[in-house]
Amino acid sequence: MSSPVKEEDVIEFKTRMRQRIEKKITFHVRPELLATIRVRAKKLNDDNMSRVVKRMFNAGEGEFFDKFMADDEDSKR
Amino acid sequence: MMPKGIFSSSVIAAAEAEVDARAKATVAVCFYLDRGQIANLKSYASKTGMSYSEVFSQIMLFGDEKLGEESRIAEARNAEKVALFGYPDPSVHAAFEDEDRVKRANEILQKNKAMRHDPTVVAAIEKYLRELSEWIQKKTALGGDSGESGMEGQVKYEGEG
Repeated sequence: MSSPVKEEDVIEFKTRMRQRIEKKITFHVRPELLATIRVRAKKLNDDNMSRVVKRMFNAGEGEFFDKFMADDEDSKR
Repeated sequence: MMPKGIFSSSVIAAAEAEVDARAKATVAVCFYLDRGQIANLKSYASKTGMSYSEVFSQIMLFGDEKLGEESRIAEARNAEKVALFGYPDPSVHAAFEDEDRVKRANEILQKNKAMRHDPTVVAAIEKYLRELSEWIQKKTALGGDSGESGMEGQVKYEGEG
């Protein structure tokens, strides 16, 4: 007989599923950025632009966060 | 600044305004992002005081730089492996990486770099590469043994199954 499902497992499952659900979002960006994304898509050999954007987002998020933290520290000094 | 004397100041001002407007021009574009990514984006925007689009643009530029660096490293590694093994297919390189065979093949080639034209060495390397090729074919025929449990996309609770 299966043991009852733990509440924390359900919460974790829901969080993961929520993170995996896509949402359409509109950005206003410089045309150069679009060109950069297209070039990267070509190099990654991927014609799904949203997938390319997600990959770029994941790759760049850490760097952005580091820069933001560094800037924040500078502003406190 | 445009040269004065040829055009009236109003024409110059209009042209400069046009240049400024073009430099600031943006296009609206839609992408599908994971909800988690959007939540992070919103969080960064509220912390930095920037708009979503500004944060998004910055993250994209950082990401492009990082992926560019990663792809340059991957290309260099790929080129190195093609030079060593003569297989242009990256999936074959991945198969090589599964075992210590890359290390062994590299050792053979490094030790015998100066003797690459020696028929005995060439024959030994060819034999070794033939063995590797057979091993890869066997591995592919078996459907791979990467250690994946086949659980991807499934949710398993404790005590289930």
